[in-house]
Amino acid sequence: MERPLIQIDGTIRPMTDEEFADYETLIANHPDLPSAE
Amino acid sequence: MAVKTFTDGVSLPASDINTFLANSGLVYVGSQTVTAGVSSVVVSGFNSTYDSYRLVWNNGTMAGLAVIAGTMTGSAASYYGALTCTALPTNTFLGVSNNNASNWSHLGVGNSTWLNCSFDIHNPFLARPTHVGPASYTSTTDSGTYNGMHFVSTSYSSITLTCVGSTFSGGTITLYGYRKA
Repeated sequence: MERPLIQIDGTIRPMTDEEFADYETLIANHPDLPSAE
Repeated sequence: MAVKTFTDGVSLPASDINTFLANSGLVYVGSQTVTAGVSSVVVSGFNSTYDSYRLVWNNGTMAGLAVIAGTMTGSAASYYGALTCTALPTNTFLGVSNNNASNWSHLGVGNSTWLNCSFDIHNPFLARPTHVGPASYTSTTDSGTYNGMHFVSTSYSSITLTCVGSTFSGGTITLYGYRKA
């Protein structure tokens, strides 16, 4: 699976293992607003 | 630097002019153009020069309708906050809370033609909890404000903004510092 990209002060690269783990946790647990479009 | 009182007839050195031009209330720290396709953007610039900052994202867009979440870079716990807003079609109050969560969940919102993300950040570089907000959160269906805190007494030099459900596709993020005396 292609890793999501992260931009750090203008420099772009794929996420590291740690960054990707945090990213997946954030996405999986993100609360939805009750009346999303 | 203390404010200087100038006097008529007294010479005005270039050094004084340059210093006070730079010492406005809100001082430019840095900016970056967001590249299409990135899922997260790290905004650096917190240091001992300022205790409070303002982040403004202009002309931004995303690949699709999505929310912007935030973290102090490298920390995935101890986030508290709430989005309070009104559903525009029904004039109904809505809310989302973060109670010891892994991120600030609603620091902004956007889609393929617009993006809304601007907020203050207090004490990020000090070894004490960081506060953010008020962050404007407005779309064509919801309008409100998010405020939050990161309950960790650690110094951070950057904040990470993550696109939830899509990718960022443009705009410029600018960081300003609130000048201290």
